[in-house]
Amino acid sequence: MKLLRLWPQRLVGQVTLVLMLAVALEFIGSWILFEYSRLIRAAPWIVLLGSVGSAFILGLGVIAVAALVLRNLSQPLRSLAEAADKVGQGAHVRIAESGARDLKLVAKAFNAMQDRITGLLRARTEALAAVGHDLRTPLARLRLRAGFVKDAEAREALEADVDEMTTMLDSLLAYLGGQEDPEPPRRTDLAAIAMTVIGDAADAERPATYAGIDHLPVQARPLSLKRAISNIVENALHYGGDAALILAREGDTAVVAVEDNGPGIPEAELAGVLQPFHRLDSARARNTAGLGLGLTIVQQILQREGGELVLRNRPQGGLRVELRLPAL
Amino acid sequence: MATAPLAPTILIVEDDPALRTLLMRLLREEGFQPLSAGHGAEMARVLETNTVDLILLDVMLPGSNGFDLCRSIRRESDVPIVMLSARDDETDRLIGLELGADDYIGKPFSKKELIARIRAILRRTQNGQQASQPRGHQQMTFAGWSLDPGRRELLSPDGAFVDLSGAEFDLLLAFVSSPQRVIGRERLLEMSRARFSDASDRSIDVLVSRLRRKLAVTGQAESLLRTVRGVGYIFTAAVERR
Repeated sequence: MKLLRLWPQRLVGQVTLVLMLAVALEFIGSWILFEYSRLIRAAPWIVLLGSVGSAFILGLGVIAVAALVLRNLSQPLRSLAEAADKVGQGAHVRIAESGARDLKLVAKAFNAMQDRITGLLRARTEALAAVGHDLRTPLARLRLRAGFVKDAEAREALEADVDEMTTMLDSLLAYLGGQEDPEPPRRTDLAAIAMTVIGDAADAERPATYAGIDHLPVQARPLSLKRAISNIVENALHYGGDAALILAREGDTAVVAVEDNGPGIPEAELAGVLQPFHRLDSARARNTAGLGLGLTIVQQILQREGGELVLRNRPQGGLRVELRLPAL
Repeated sequence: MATAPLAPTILIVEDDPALRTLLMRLLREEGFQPLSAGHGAEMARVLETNTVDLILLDVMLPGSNGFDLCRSIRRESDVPIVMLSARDDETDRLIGLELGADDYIGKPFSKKELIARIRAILRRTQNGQQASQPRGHQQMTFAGWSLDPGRRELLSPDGAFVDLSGAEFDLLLAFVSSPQRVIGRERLLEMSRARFSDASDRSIDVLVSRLRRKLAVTGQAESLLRTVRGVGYIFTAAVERR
């Protein structure tokens, strides 16, 4: 948790110093003027000039103070804006409830608001996850009932529907539960995981291939990694028609690259596809399984493992998705 | 399909009445003799008066959950247990298998899947093969590798977790259970068919080559799983049990 201070302690000191300086200058100015006029009985215009001069000095002082106060008032507002920007990006941001009375109120309200938002989100997430789990029992009944349908075509269609719902549920639960995964990170062979995912796809007679090194240890959560790799292989097969996985080590980085020969993703949309519930072609959304959470989940997993997700269109066509992780 | 002389009795422990009825009907149609219980106490009553060949046990039950029941059954008997769970996550699966369950099926499952798993387990236990299937925490080590059949985990010599598919794990288990002996393709096929009904002769070779690649460590590669031409394979390393 980060603690931010809205009211800088040094402000009071700075303001006092500038004011004292201005008053002192004003005082010295008036004194010089008085002495001067007393000694040489100066012409009235000189006295006038002197007064203007001393007023000018006082004015400068006031402007300086005003500028300082303004700058120091906008500083807390700026840090408030920064704090507000950070809300919802993972870390819980707290603002120190101190300083001037009004700023203290703002800080207090901000903190309370954030607590309420966090609480609401957690309640919603838990409710959604609970429903997700509970839906599995009626789905289980449905799937078993499908087994009794005599018409083979209808039975297969029913089973496919249940499978699709199950896939959606699984991805939703993975997305919701991603933050608090109990699985601890451990030394894991990334190559073995990638090979299993490709092997499973190949067993289902889908065009998936593996190339690269036989072993590559990383420190990570193996189940999460498997989900991430399987999501991008699944995407490549689904949208690109094939999946070529290449595992390599680039210095201290383990790189799992999955390439396909599909249409790729328009450059303008590359960032958008990482958003939750995003689908490339909304008109055809009904033809695609899942909820559009696949890549969001992959990114979530990689961030937690200290890695990154890179999407790139290949010059020869098709998409290249890279999972980059620190290698051991 | 081999028909047992007596229809195997299967006890369903499931709190959802509709699902329980469906399972009963399904098992009856497939030639089993189903019994049912809605919770732990009822299960205990049924077990007192009946001999059961297999228990289908739901994880989420009112009162004591499936894991507790699994543990208490294991204290008294070796009856095969298949856990059914709405939470299809790996942690649950591992807990179930560690507590001595024979298999774990995530909901929703299809009729075909369920029946295949039940038949596989019954075949395994009724043929008296159970002894060859190591159970629980008996860890095995070979050439620096270690294998934990309870957690279904393989660790490489440098301590890294090496992911294996279900079929690969079963195959490796078959190899380390009969080390330094030639195992014929037929026998391997039979062993892996207990779990995967559609394994073919060729798929054994594919599985072996996948396993070889995952077990490949500088220089050691070919020697762990050697091909005996025309016969099958031999697992060359010595296996130690702990």
